[in-house]
Amino acid sequence: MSYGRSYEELEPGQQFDHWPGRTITEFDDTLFSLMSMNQHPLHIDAHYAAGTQHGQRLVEGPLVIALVIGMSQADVGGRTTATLEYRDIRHLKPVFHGDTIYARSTIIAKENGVVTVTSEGLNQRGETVLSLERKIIVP
Amino acid sequence: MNYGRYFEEFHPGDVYKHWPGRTITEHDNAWFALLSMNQNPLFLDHHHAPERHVVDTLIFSLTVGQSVGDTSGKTIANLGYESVVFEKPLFVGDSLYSESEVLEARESGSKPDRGIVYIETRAFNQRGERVLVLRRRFLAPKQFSR
Repeated sequence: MSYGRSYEELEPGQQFDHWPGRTITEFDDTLFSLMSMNQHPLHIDAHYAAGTQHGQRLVEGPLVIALVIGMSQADVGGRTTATLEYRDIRHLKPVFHGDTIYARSTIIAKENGVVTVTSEGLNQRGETVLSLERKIIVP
Repeated sequence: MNYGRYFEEFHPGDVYKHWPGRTITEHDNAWFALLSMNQNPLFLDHHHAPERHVVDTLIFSLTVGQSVGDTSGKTIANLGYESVVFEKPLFVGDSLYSESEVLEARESGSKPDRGIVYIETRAFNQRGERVLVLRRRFLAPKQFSR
């Protein structure tokens, strides 16, 4: 049994479709928003959100980001000893309570123990909702 | 009542010291890692990794969360993050404090009721050592336009 990959096992060009996905519940969004001190009413106030552009609460962005990175760990970063940076994080589509998120990653580069990986989050209709790049130290 | 700012209230160079900070507990770290499906033993197994690193996505989420009340608390949409740089590790039991600086505030080219705000948010531990710097853009509504 293994979790993540070693530096030798990661090569630029490799692609991974991560599994399993995860449905984001109302509980998740409320919990993550408030645990991280984000009290924006768009995430925690259903009546307020009913009067906004999408007519409902939106899942907090950092939750989608944390989930996509989390999903990628089993295939990619599960042995990471440090994360150096995230770059170019884009919220491409809104995520709502009840949506299911899947993730996939591509290894972009590796040099001196640092691996650059891009990851995407997709919803249950296959629409890309998030993209980001990150640099991690992999032993 | 005040949470977040209108577009007119953002001035380049302004710095907001966010308050309060937050101590990251064992419970926070394990829950955050597991609920986000991150099972890297660095965050979960103290025999394997006795240093007890805080999950990077939790440091990031908390830094963003702390900044919202002073910055994007009225936002229409969060457009994304240009960069998130982890400068020092954070450990369970450490506290996180943060501040944001307005880098740019410009009118939307297409919609007169809003503007695009570009900020840098910096997070520090209890010793004032910088652990993270991020830059992001969001859409802020104007106060007098509807």
